[in-house]
Amino acid sequence: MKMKQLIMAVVLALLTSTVAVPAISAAVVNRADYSLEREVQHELLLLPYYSVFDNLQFRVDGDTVVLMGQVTRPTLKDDAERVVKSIEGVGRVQNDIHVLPVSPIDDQIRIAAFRAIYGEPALNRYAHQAIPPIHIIVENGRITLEGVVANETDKNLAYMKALEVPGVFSVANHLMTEHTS
Amino acid sequence: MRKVKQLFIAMVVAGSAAMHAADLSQTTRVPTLPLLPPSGTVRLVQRELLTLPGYTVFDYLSCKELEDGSVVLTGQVTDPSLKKAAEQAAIAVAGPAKIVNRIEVLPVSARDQQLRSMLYRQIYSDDSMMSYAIRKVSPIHIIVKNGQVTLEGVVDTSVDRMHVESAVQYASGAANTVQLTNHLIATQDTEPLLSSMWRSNEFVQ
Repeated sequence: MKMKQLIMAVVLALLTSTVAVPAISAAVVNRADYSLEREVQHELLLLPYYSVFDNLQFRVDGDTVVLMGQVTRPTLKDDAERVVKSIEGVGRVQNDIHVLPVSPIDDQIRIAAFRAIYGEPALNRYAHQAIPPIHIIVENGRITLEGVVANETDKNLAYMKALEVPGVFSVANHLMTEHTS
Repeated sequence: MRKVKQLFIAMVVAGSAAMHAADLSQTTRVPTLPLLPPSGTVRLVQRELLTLPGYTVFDYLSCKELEDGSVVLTGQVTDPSLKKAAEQAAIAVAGPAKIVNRIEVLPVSARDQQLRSMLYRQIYSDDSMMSYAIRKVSPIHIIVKNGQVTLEGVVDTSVDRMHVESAVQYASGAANTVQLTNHLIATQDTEPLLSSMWRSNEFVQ
């Protein structure tokens, strides 16, 4: 009887070990697949002074990273290039980030648009996210909305709230919804 | 009413600043950042946690590596699915054998939820805190559990730290909040601001 239990225990232990090995292997594979895109995305995300009034985008071509988008601070453009260059596997960085012109009026529009959009009760949950998803790009009185929202209703609501901001000439709605992004 | 609120906060901040200055030589009230950087695995896990869908300023996720190499996930979340998602994200980076999930799921409470929203408005409605509200990564996390409030994350200066605390105390007075714990880290006293949430996640509790 004891021998039978011992054999069962040994068989069970062997079975357990064969199940665990593929799981660990899968994890190792996942770690190896930790892509350059993900690395660049994280580095840009964690840049100090990167705000919802900036929009950083990038494209990876082989070992070349092309940086795009708009920033309010020239230093953010330089910082973005610096952190991406420091990533292992990046050979060259093409920095096409556009620095938005300094304008107190645009600054006022940014703050007003931020309050209008994120202060809207139906959109307030986006403000609560650890990474607020709606970017408000303002250049010479023209607003461009970038980012991802949950649905078309939110996308249109953000657009309407931006239109209500005094002093705005036009609003381009580039927001994507989670289904289309 | 708004002016009275601002005056109250200004008085509390000024009072706190004076007390802080007086006590500075005796005790260090503001937590400091660790000198040692996190390991590669911890950095990768922290990055994954930060970008989890559904991660809000009312949750706080962190992790640390033990001597045996295992990675312990800590923090509090309002949504149970976020706990599971955090574990899966960490496993994808470090492997299943290394992850210990000690994330606490906060109890469902309408009163707590109401308090969270009120505190968020209270903290970020002030013009002086606008620079925190617009950041790509929200730096101040508000954890509410059974009416008790804990602040996590980072701010630029110790004055801002006190300012946030005062705003919470003001709002908490109306909501009869029992206790406030301020774990906010002021980066000013250690080194220039590097990045918001990233720095706070480096803080090993």
